Amino acid sequence: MTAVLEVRDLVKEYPVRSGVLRRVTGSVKAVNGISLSLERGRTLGLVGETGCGKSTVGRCLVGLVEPTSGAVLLDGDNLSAMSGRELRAARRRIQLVFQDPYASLDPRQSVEAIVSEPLRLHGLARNNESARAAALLDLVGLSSSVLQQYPHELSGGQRQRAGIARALALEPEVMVLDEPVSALDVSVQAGILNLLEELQQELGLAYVFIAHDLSVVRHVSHEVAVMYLGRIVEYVDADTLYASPRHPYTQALLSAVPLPDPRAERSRQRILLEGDLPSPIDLPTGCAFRSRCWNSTDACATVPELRVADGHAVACHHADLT
Amino acid sequence: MNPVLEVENLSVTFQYREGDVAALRNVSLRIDPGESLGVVGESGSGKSLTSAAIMGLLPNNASVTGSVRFLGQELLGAPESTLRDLRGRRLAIISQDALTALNPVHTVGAQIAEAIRVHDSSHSRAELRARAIELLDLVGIPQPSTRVDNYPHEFSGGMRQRALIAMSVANEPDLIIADEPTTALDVTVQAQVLDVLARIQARTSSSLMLITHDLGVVAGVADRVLVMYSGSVVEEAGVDDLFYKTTHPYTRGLLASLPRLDARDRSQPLYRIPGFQPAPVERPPGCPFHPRCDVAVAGLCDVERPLPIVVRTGHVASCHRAEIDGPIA
Repeated sequence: MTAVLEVRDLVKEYPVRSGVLRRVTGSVKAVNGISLSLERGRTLGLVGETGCGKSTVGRCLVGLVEPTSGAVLLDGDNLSAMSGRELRAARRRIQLVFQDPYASLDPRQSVEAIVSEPLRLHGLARNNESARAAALLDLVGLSSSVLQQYPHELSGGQRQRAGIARALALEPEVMVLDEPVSALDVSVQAGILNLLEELQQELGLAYVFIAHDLSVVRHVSHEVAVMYLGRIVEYVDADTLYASPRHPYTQALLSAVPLPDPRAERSRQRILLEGDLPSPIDLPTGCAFRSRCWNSTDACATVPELRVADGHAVACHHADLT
Repeated sequence: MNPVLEVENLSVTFQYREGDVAALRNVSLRIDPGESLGVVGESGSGKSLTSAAIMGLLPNNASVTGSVRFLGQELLGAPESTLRDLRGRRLAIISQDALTALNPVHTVGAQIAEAIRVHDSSHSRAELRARAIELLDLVGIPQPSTRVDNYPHEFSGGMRQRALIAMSVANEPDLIIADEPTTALDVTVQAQVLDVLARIQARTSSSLMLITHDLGVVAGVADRVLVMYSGSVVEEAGVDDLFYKTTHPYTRGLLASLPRLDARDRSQPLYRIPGFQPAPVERPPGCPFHPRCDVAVAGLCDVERPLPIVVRTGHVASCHRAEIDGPIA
């Protein structure tokens, strides 16, 4: 099966300015050579902690941020090689759902205007906008009575549903979901996660699911890529990642997640990481994780390649891939 | 054993021009020496309001009734000077947002020293500095003797939260109230901070009231747990009973709606509690949870507010069904 989304060697650099004249004195690689592949109807979880670059990847995918180098391919069409009208048309096929449903909906527009705005912008559905908006709301489990309401009149869960309806308006093939449930309470979060799953089954959507909550990612993902300081450190199917993580960072990350099970919590061995995340401006040479890693040796002074064995990719000199 | 904190029938009502809003209704709780009590609930359940009421930090339009006894002393209606003397010395609070809790124009060391000096002015500057370094070391700040002169912006999020813990335990308090202390932190940093909190608590044998929305954190930290919903306590139990003999339908719904890291079967959709938690002004009659409850009894749950029912020793649920059906094995 061919991939609906393919990312090749994506890099995003930001200039570092300093001094009174704000001269460019260096650069930060927020995303440092990332390759991903996603099939129709599947979910790729992108996890990592604050500052690892996962949101920048999402923004590069939908074109909100221009990548420094690398390619984003939709169904084999290279978005990076397109421009103008062609690019605009291709962009319809990949849509973003934002984290904060309170900040990402225009407070002065009705739900109907918000959901049908993408249709207007792309010159689609001139006559039946209302009907289309109502159908979209129905798809995300909102009654058409909210059409004339404004975002402040909706609950957090309803707002996130409206945000999903807006992203669905252009019938995309790929949805980039950037922390779609992290602003919501658990009982509301469950409804949104179930909805995303239903939509995927019904419409064959492919999701890039960006989140820091590893339990949520486990629930929704088929494959998971773990990021640390701009690079992928481990990339494999979800069951394998959670059952036998091979990168020390993934191991530490998983062991730190609190389980809602007191007996399991008492018997657990936690890997506590020493120190703090290094500044992206001043990365350790070689493996970026070596300043906090308990396995690090002289070999770690060189950057580890992402090595693959049996579909399990790990970027660690010491990971046993046999 | 005398409890460190005993709260009885604590109610908070806010007075607005449009009318009164009963935000907190008849909350009772008790914390024994050295014990950790977890208080869980979703946004708007009243868990942070409970801690603000205990600390005496409510706005002027709030009227409070009931009783808050700390080390046997009644705090409700106590003069501000008494409260000021207790806060930061015997009763410490750790807030969610360490960046706003720390003063940006003073060094971290100066702020820790201030926390000690304000209650005991007998120490010299050198003694205070040495104590600040010792405390930073205790919470796992690397190179504490240089870090003591840093400003908050030079600390990472996890270090700020640890500095805040150092400040709050500077006077070895009897009770630490931690309000979502790790919510803004990444999971590996959260693990570090919770570890520090546990070590400090073991060392100073202080009690802990941990307010959080995260049932995983509660499972790892608390001895006993209080579940709040719409301004009331709906269930209280030892941590094992709460998770393995869950009695209140709301607690059960919360647990079932959690995606699990240790899940065996991921093909099942998550349980979704229908509807929303009502705002205090829209609270329905009877049990506040009945419109969302899958086992509500018509004519009872929508009419009569349930009283706390003891289902087993130390396990209380405010639910009519708990009374009808009896305890869960």
